[in-house]
Amino acid sequence: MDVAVGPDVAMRSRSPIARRRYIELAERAARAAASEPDPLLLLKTGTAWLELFHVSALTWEYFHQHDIRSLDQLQPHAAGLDRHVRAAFPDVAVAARDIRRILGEALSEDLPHDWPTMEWSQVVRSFDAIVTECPIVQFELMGRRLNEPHLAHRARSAYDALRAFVRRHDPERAEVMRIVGEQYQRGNIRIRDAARLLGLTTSDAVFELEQDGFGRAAPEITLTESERAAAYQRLRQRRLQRSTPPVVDPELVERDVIASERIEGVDARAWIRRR
Amino acid sequence: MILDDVEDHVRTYTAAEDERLAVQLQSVTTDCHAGKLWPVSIDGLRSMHRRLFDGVRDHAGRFRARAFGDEYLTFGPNRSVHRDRVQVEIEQIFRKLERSAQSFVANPDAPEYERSALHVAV
Repeated sequence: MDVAVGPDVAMRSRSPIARRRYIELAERAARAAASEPDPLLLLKTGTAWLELFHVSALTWEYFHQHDIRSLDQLQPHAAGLDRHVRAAFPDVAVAARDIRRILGEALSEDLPHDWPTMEWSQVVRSFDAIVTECPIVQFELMGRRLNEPHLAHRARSAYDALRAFVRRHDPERAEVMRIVGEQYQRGNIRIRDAARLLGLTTSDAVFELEQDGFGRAAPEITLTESERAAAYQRLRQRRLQRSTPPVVDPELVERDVIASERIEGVDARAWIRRR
Repeated sequence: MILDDVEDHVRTYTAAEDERLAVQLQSVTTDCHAGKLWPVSIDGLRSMHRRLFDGVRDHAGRFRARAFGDEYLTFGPNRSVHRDRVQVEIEQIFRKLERSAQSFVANPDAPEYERSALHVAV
């Protein structure tokens, strides 16, 4: 993993200095309707904070899952932690320079060699507070105003990922979602099997898994040449065997509508099923 | 910097509008799966837009154009072309699309038919 966003940086993101700076920035962004001398820097900085907290949440999640409580214990897990972070945040290296910049002098603080057993619910609550304080709508408005949609999209992606982190660690949610989600994210089970285990339709399973942050990275969904050839062959057979107009499968229509609406941030399931 | 004037009024919907959009999208998608929207055309695209936004936005079925609609729209990390360019760009895209579609529709037995069709669709 890039040094700038390694576990030490993720741990420092929970320092009081870092937290104070984030709150100051969030307040500045929330007031940005009045006047802001350098809105682009504000947007860049806000994006970097959110991406840092995203990496930090993933890092603490990994520590929690593997009961890692010191840098020595972390050493044999370095590659596993790297995979865990990159599976959820493939563009982590792009964020590295800005993350280092925002941490500033917090990077020179001594890092504890080990840390006591964490109260996990407290860790989750601290990220929940970050989500609550985040002026994401203001960041998106700035992105449009400054013609920086890519930057605003990065901020939104990190924000959604943090929200998903809090959601998937909600003690009220069934443990089965987390287990199935991790296997699905790593490409170990197919979506149909995940849906069966969760007792949901395929459309619902994709929706719920992604809401909880269990999306799949591109390498996990890219078909091999032989898989691609087989898919083309299935399409071909279906086309050549068909002698009548296509028969509409309402479930496939429903899947497409739900997926399209999700791009706009809308959960259309209740509306189209009620009918 | 004043942010109040850049709120995304075009894509901020009430719950009732969201519901209507979902139901209308379901209708358009059903026709798409039934093959009723083929062959694609600029008029067909306009008709789909009209059906989708009917009763939700006044610009249903109309392309942005000079002095009409927002200058730019933002979709995730991407920004649209300027409204003055919409008609020209759509015509260019459809010319290219028709050329591509004709090439594989004319050869339904060709082994690369599915690959070409998917490539054009995406």
